[in-house]
Amino acid sequence: MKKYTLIILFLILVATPLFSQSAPAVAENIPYLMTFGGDASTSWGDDDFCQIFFCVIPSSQTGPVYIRVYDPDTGGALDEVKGKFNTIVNFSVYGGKDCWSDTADMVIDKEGTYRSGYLLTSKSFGADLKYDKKWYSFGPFNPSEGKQVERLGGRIFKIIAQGISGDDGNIYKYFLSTSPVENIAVEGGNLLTYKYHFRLSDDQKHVCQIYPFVDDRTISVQVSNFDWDHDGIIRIFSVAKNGILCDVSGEDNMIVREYPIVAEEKNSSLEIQFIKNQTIQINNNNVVIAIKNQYGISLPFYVVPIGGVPVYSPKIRMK
Amino acid sequence: MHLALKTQKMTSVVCKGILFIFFSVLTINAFPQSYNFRNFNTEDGLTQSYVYSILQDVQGYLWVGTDNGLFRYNGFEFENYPTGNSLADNFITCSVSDDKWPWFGFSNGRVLYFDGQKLKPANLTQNDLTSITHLAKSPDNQIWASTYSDGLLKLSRDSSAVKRYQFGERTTIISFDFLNDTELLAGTNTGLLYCRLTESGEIEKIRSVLEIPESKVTCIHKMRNESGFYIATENDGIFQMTTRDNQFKISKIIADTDFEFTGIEDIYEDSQAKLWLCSKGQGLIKTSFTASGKLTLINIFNKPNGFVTDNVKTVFEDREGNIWSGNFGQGLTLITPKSFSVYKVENPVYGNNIFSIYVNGQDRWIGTENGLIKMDQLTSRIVKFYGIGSGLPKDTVTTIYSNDGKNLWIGTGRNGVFRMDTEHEGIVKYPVENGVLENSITIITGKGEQVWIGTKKGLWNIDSGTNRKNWFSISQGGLPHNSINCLYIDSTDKLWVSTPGSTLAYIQDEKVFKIPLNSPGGNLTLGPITEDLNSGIWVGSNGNGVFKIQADSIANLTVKEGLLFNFCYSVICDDQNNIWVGHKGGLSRIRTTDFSIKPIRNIDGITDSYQFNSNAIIKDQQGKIWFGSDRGMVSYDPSSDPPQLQPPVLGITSIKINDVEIDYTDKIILSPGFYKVRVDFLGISLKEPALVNYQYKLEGYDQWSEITKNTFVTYPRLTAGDYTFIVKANNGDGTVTESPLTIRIIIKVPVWGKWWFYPLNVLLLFILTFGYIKRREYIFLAEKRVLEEKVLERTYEIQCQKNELELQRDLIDEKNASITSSIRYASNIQNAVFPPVELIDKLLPDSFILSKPKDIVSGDFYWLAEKDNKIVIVLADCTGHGVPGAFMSLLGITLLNDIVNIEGITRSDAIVTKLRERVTHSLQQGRKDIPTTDGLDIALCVLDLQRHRLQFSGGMHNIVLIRDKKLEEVKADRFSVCVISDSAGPFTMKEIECRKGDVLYLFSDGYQDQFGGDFNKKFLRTHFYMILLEIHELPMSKQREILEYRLIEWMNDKIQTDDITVMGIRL
Repeated sequence: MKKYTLIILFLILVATPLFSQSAPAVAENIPYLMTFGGDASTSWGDDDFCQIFFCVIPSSQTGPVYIRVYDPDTGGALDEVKGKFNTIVNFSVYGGKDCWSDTADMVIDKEGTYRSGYLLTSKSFGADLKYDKKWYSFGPFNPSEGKQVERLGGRIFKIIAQGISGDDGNIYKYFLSTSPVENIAVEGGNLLTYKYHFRLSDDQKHVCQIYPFVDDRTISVQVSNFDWDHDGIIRIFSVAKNGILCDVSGEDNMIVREYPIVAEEKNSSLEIQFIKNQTIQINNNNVVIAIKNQYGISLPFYVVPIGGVPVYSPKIRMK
Repeated sequence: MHLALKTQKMTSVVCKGILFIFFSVLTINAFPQSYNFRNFNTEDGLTQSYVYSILQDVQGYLWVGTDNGLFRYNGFEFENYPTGNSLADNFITCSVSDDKWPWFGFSNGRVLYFDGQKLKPANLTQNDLTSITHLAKSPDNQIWASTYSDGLLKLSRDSSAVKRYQFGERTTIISFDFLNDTELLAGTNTGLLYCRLTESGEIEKIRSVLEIPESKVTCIHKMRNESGFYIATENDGIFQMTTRDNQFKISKIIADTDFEFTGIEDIYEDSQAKLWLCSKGQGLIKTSFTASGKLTLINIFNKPNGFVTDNVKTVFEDREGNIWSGNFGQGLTLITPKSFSVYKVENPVYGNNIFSIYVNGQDRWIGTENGLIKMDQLTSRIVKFYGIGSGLPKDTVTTIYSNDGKNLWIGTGRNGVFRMDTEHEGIVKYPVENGVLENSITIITGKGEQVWIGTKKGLWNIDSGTNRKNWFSISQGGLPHNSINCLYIDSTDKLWVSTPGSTLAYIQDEKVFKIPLNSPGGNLTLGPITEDLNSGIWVGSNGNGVFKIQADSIANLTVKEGLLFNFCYSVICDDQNNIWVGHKGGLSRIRTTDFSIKPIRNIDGITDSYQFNSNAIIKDQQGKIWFGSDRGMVSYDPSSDPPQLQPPVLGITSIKINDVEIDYTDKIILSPGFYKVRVDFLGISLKEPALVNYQYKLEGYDQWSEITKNTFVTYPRLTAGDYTFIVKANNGDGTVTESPLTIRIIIKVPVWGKWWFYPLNVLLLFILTFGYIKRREYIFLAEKRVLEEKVLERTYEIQCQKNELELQRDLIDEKNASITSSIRYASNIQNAVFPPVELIDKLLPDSFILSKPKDIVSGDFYWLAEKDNKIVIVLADCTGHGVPGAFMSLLGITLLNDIVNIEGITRSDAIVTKLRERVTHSLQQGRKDIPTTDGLDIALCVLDLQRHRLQFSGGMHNIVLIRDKKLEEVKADRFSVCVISDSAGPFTMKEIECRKGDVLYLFSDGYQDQFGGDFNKKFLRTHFYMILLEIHELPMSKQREILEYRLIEWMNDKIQTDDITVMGIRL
């Protein structure tokens, strides 16, 4: 029995691509995304109860694609309950010419036109065991129904997870797949968001990292984080930054700090590390983080970092 | 129970279980899906794989809208219809038909419609619209479009007439349909709305239809009977809504099995009232309602069932009943009922080369190259195989027959006949005859107790009751050949026998009758035989097609008539009276009513290199036909293949005149000339496009063509005429287009070729001639008028001249009268100066004087005087005549009087000379400036009667003296008495003695110079002298009469030429 179990686990491991278009990505070491019900308190870690992700489908992909959601319901052991589960979270997928704007700030503004584009499909989930710890596939989607964005190298779909009602936290994750029943990565696909709502690992040894992309227009970045709960420290790495400390927010609080961007850092990804508090065990810590440039334009977090994971290259001055 | 026994039983159970599983697997293999799927993709020209809309236009074309282009399918190829240049992008989201032509909605908010020639924009004036989500037709046949967020558009072919209706608040319409002209159901992302259109252009939301969950309504499909709608939601299933008196009755449609309708994208109700559900994730689902109102799943077309995809966006039933599945990411699929099924025997021991089939009750018996298979008729499971060990040799089972349903007659290829009791499954050899050929059984048939066994050496007739045998061969009974190819007992109990050779035989009452069949090739090998429902006998041949024998007529159908091949191995008649013919590589179906032939080459599940075996064909109780082939067994179920009663939709695809394609309507009018005309046409039958046949003619040019598959015809040189091109088509089932397609081609007749040309020309010529004549007449009349005027003018002038002339004439007459009177008076004077008659009579008593002046007065004169007893006789001719002569004569007479009478000169020459002198003197005195030639010719005689001497002096005038009947001419001097001869010297004198009786004639030249006679010639002196000689003896008066008479006679009314004077004197 043990033997068969090992084989099955092996197969599952083999079948799950390590560098796939999942959000959060495996490499980010972030266990789940989170979205709370619309009636929840922001002190639980979600400042706007809405998470917007964009899926990049490369032009080479002509077959149907699926956006899979793991544990889309708000119920069961994985999700964060407050009292009894009473939360409904809606997932909506958008395509069409307006689903992504070059002025990315607009798309994360809840009061703005964040639901722009053509609604391709939508489904609301409450507490439903049918979907608990299971994958639900939105799609199939014709890549042509996405918005063509040359700068991002393909067509864009948008998926919005929004807490409609209730005060519980929906913990979930995404996968961009070519199959409705299994996670088969779209070759060259990617997922990105401009405002990352996620849950930190409870394991104090885990270091989570996310990878905002700094374009060539950026000369400084404003890093904001919400409801850090004093759960350790946040460091910023890049080719020119060797883990500089980032100010962290407290409970139900948003903090914004600005950091300069040097020439070497342009057109590359930063790495923001979340290092758990090694002295106090803090569980179920939900964090929201966003980065804007000097113009107030949000910078995207790619699950597959553009240009790879940044490696600090110290400048050695010879006298 | 003993352990071993238990083990044995267990083993038996396991074996049976394995066998069951094995046969179950066989069964599964033997029963593939009951539909044929034909997928269309890039290789077929459909380059896009996401199909969003399908519809068929009135011309039969199938329009397929994809995410990157619009395609039109004609049965053979997909034509990419460009839309990019008409303001639309290439993403077709939806389509609808206005009962004739399609309309297409695009993701950029544009709507195009097809007008039969090209796509045209319908909402050109509506800018920046969001995607068209749905198109529908309202009850008043208007086309409407819903947009993602811009409301509804009431469309029109007139782009400017498009009217827009909007919700008060932003609402996305995913689908919609009309309840009536103003009320509609709108499917949104959040449920179904019952709405009304207002005059102000607003979509008034009457209420939300709460019976439908607040889910995305993906489809609203009006029921075929228009009693309600089918409504599909994205996540909450499908619903049925019926309407009555503005009340909605809505119920959720559930399946009669545990099946959830999720992800339904489209609902389509076909002509058989079957509901087709298109889903994302579950494929295409064909359903029908049960009596309880639940849906029964008839078929699920998804990947597990062999369908190409699990995601179907739309579905459409064309006019022929074919179902087209628009797949999401997998192109287009044509779904047709599967009428042919292939059954393969997978076990090589049994053999898969089927030589004979027999259906007996619930069992199907199959003869292979290795033995006999018993198959369950209902389940098609192989029950048992009979080969070596079962009583049969390892030999081909060529034929199976049973006359009672229990005992089988089994014929083998080399080992003769076997009999099998199907109840006890015992097989025994039935002894027939020794010999290899005698045991090569080709076919067994029979009726009642009579069994007929065909071999390669002859034909056995066995009475199974008495076991009596009767042998037929060439030598025994008179068969055409000993090798029997086929036997068939018809409805009149004739046993038909086919053999190698061209003679078909039948046996009746143990007698052989022969029917020779002629073939164009000469050699003929007859094969399978069957009988149609009209008692016609059909015989297949090896290389010469099929023959039909009906009464005394024989028809031969070959490849030329449409048969797939000329080599025929099996024939049978189905319940629809169609003859099925098995060939190597396919089948031919012959419709007995009109001999139309449908060739069938491709049969799903069997490779191209298959061959149907001889006489391996049978029809079961259900009417299914079973064919034995070298690749297994093929069944054909006529119930799955109803004849296609819809003829092809026939259309002209292009017309080229002199190799240039032209736009055309139903009439083409060309100017006079010679034209090369090519007409391309196409009959669209989407089910079996390759089987469409055509027949055409150009009325006015040729006759109906042969039936052909050509889709164009070229007429190389058409000249003036009124032609009608007529083409008709039929489909594979022989259904002909109801009314042929016609197009008139009129090549104008040149003017000279028109019927009216010559009459018109004649008329024109007549008119021209008439006009010309009239013109001339007019001109003549005008000229006449001018002439008349001129005549009148001239007449007037002439009249005037006449009057003038008359006046002048009168004046002349008056003057003439005066002159004449004067001359007459002068004549009197002249006569008065001439010697008086008394003097003449006195001096010359016997004489005459003939004096005939030309005019009143004479230039001639005579003078006579007596002086000194001498008589001077003068006859002179003065210059001129008339008055001048008269003047001269007066002058002469006066001078002569002076010379003779006064001066007393009597010598003739002196007188004449003196006279000349005096004349000269008289005429030249004081007139030297005027040369005067006037004078006179003279003959002067002085007669001295006493001396009987006659003196004569003359100037130019001779005298004649006739004496003794002899005429003597006395010559005068050859000069006249005039001025110019004054220098000529004196005149001479001739003195002649005169005698009594001599006749002397003096005369002027007037007589002899007178013109006349027959030839208007001068009288001449000689003639005159002859007359004188002739008459000189006559009395002088008589002579005068004769001379005058002769002169008048000579003149004959001619004008007198000169004065004439003749004097005759008889001495």
